[in-house]
Amino acid sequence: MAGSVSIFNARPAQAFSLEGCQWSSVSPVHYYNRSSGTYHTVNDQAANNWTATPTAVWLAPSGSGSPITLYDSNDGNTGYSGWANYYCYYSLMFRADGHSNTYLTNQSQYSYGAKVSVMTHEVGHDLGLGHNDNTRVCSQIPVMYSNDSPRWFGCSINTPQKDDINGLLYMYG
Amino acid sequence: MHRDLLSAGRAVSLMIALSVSAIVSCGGSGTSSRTTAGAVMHIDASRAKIYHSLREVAADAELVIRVTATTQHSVDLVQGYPGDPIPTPFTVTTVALRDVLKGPANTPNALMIRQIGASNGTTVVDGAPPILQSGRQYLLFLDQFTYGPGRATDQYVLVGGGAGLFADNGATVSSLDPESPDLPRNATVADVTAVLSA
Repeated sequence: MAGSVSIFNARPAQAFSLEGCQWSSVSPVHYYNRSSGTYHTVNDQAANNWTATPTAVWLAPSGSGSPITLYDSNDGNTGYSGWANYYCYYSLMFRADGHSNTYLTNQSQYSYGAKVSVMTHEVGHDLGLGHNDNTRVCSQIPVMYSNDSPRWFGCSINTPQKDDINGLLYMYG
Repeated sequence: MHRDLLSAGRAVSLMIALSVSAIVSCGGSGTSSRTTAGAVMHIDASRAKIYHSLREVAADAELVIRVTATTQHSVDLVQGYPGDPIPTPFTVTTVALRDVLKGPANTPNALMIRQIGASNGTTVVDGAPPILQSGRQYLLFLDQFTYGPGRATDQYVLVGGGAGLFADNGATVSSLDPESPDLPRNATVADVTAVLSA
């Protein structure tokens, strides 16, 4: 759980968690898509999912010098389907990446929709959102839920949900 | 894509400092630049599977062992792609075998356990279980670390990214994974043995 900052509204399910680190500007923030084939499409879809939210976030594809890099790689049987790395400097994010672990995401149960769920989640981290495991109720579960089991395999969530969007609105408007 | 193992047994702080100091990155608007000495690297790793019981964890484990972590720690910095400016640190801890609850009788007396992150303050891994601490005793549910068929290594990983990590308190064990809320926080070793023999 990221837990640097947690904002709770009246209902516990209506919550989001922030990393405590965010971009100085997201209008736009550029990303470089290093993947090819299906994963290239998945990465773009994940970025577009956040751009499509009613927030200031605009993820724009660009070249290798971009502050965010999206890719795929075989990390082995770590138990993690993906992760996001970023550097934080006085609460400002300045370099981030997110990727799928193809050891897992190439397995048959990871459909295209599941792959998008993983990468949308990782891009959420790249924007400053932390894990939000407050509920497993499908109508309320956020894409920032930490585990693929309830998020995708249980609830088929692969786009930002209300709590995720509220988190972005809190950070970026 | 592939991963390059940059170093084994090398201090992560130096490498991250070098990586960080080399970065000059554009801000979100593309108009600012900043060097990053003193920045902290964060990792948010996402689990593939949630575990609801000791039985489920045991079913996915090749080895269930009681160990003492020894003093050997090394850190591998793994690049996601050539030139990756944010390589991921993995800590490898050697543990001394005390008891085998599941696994072959000829399990080695010393095993290397691979965990994401580093415990030297340069990296924060959100939601991950703690790095094994020297001198502490643990109950571990493990799989051999592999990149795929025919690509096994001499290291082991915790089942479920951390679900398989328990503090060994003697007659009882305690889950150390913050993102496996369905697992019992505490259990007796007899409970674990019973699960394994069921």
